[in-house]
Amino acid sequence: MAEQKNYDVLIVGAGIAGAILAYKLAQAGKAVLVLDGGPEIPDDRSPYMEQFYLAQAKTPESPYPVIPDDPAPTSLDINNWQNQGSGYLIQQGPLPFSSTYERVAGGTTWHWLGTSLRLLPSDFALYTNYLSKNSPPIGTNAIDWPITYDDLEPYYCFAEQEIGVAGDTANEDYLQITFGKDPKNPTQPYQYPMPQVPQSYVDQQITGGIGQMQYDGQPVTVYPTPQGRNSIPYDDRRQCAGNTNCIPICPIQAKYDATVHVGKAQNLGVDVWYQTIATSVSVDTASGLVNGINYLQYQVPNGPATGSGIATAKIYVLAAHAIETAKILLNSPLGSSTVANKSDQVGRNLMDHPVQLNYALAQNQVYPYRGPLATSGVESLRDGSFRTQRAAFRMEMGNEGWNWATGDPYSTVNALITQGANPISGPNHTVNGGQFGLQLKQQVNAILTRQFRFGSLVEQLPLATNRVQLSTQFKDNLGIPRPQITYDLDDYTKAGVAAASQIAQQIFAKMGAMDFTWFQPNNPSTFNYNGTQYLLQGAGHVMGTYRMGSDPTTSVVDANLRSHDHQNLYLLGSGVFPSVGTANPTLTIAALSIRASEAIASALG
Amino acid sequence: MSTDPNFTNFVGLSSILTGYPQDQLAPAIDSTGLAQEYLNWMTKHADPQAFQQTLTTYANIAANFPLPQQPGQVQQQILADATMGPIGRRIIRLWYLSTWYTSEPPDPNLDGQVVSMNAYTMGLAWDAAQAHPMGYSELHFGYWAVAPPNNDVSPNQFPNVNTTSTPSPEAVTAAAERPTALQRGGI
Repeated sequence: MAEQKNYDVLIVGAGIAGAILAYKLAQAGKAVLVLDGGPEIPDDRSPYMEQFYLAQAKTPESPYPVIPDDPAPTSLDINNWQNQGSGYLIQQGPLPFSSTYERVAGGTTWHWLGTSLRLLPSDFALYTNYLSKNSPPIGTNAIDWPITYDDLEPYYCFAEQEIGVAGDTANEDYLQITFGKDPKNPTQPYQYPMPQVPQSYVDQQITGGIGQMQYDGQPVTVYPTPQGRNSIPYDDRRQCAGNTNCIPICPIQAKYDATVHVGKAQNLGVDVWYQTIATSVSVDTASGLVNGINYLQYQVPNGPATGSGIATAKIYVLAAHAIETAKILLNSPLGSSTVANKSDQVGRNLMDHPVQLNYALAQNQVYPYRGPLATSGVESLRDGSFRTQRAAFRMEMGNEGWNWATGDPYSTVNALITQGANPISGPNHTVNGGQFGLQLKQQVNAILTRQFRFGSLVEQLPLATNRVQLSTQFKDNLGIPRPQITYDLDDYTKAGVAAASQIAQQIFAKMGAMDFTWFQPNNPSTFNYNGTQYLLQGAGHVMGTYRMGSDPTTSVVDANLRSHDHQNLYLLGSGVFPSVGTANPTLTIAALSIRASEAIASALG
Repeated sequence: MSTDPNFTNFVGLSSILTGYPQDQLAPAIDSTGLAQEYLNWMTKHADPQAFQQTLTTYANIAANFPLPQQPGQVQQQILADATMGPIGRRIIRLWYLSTWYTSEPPDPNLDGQVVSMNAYTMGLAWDAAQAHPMGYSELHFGYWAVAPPNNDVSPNQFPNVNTTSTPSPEAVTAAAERPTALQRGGI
């Protein structure tokens, strides 16, 4: 066990928020300690690859070690969410929170997709621009961001350099997105650090099939996706080889993950204590300053705690993930409340991007299961006057056929082999089973090469009642209360899901594609909207649980991510998002971390 | 190459069952050893009597019928047989999906086991899809922007899918039993 030194900053969590912060502070000459619950990052990821290859259910978490002392939710838990205690999260419903995360160094970027979209300028004031225009206003617990797009723009540029984003600013010129000057060379216009990743053959065929379409007053337009994967060798890592496996694991680390910045931070002298679980925050009641982080340590994954203590520094940062950071704060009593919680917003406003999957067979072959998992999306529906009435969404276009939707190729190939008329997707579509030989090979080819899907990420409104609390009944292996989740969707969000499904159906009809979208009716993840049933799926985007704002009575941290209540406490990660827009959150998490690093360095003097 | 008659018969039968030539499944110089791995697996895990009966039946077909007639004979004598049919379908699932299922036909909850890394990276389903196993590509940057080169597997024929608004109870049950993937990953 390393010794406690005189640290300037103590960071809990070595995911992307904490790792980039640690690196930036080390660059500024600060002494930094990072606590992470997971084991040391392996030098070589081949054991993870082996575990992935051998996993029958190739879920996002399938490559990674299971650590009962450092537990995390799994995708398989969600199918059984009503059985409380069977999974890590204690789900109260009425809908299941369907996203998972990793509690290891590098965090959930081990299996992020890499999509690196910026939020739109209008996303920073959803309430003022749209929700408040209704009478009475929709989304009464929504607040604007305390910063604007322009405030964050330079930090988006820095974040794109750190992550290594491949893209072309000329193709990101929609819905008032702007790019300033190159922060490193202010006489030049900004450009992404790597050229755009080529759009897949699937993307090109669907784009052609969409042609000219409109939906709710907006054009339906496909854009290449800016993405955190190497289109050229960059930052000492390989060029993408199209393993089609960004989730659960990139075999060659061509996709950025935050282990990159954990390593860079360590090279600059940052100390990382692994297998160290932060349990609570200690506050000096006289000064209101944080005076330490209580932690437990373990040596074997399911063994007892082997150490405990309180780690100290001048400034404290929780960057442990939107659910885990809220959990730590709620586990930190202070007077009659808890740390950083004068607003009573800690743990509330839990949001995801509910995903609407629609999938089909194209008339002609589109050749999926090739390339990065997604290289394009319909981005033109992310903003418009409709946002007074219903949620916006982006439509991610998958390069992995129906792998997400039905578990293919396994489902379809098994349906072709088993004797009888066997459904592929729902019962209304069957294939003749009992096939073998060349005929089998041809049918496998004919089906799999025509598969494509949209995964629409819908903006969810903040609800005070969607929240993380501490379970009073269930504790983890080390005796720490497990997160209890209450979660539902409001009608504004549901209307966005319905719209996403409708435009997908219109695209299928225009293309002459055969729609196979189906799920088991009335299963515990379905909800009804306007007489139609939808299936709730998670995006892995966990947001909102300690939001930023200018008003200390309605938000937890300020524009610099500093706690309104405690001058030397900062909270990082997507928990600070007051609203979620339709951009995948990782790039914004990174940009906010870099921005906070300046505030923290300056507070240290 | 093995001179074990079981191996010869297993490869010959596998070729007819999968639609892939013997020299692709088990070339004379085969550093992957996948055919031998699958034979060993079947020997260890399949019903020994049924498996041996299947190989013997195939050997008789191979000895008595010209190659073009062999698929039809394999269908009639092996795949349509109550004992040997499940063995034949298990062999197809191994080659295509690299997976051994506890039951045959598989439980819809995909109660299977990936045979090995070697098996996963050579699953024929991916090849038939003109793709590569997810997580194992030997291709290079940008290949995904164009159609794959060998475009002759199913010459532009839409697959045979039966569509009905009144599905059979069996189809309703089979569809309902498949697990729902609630987060990306495909299960």
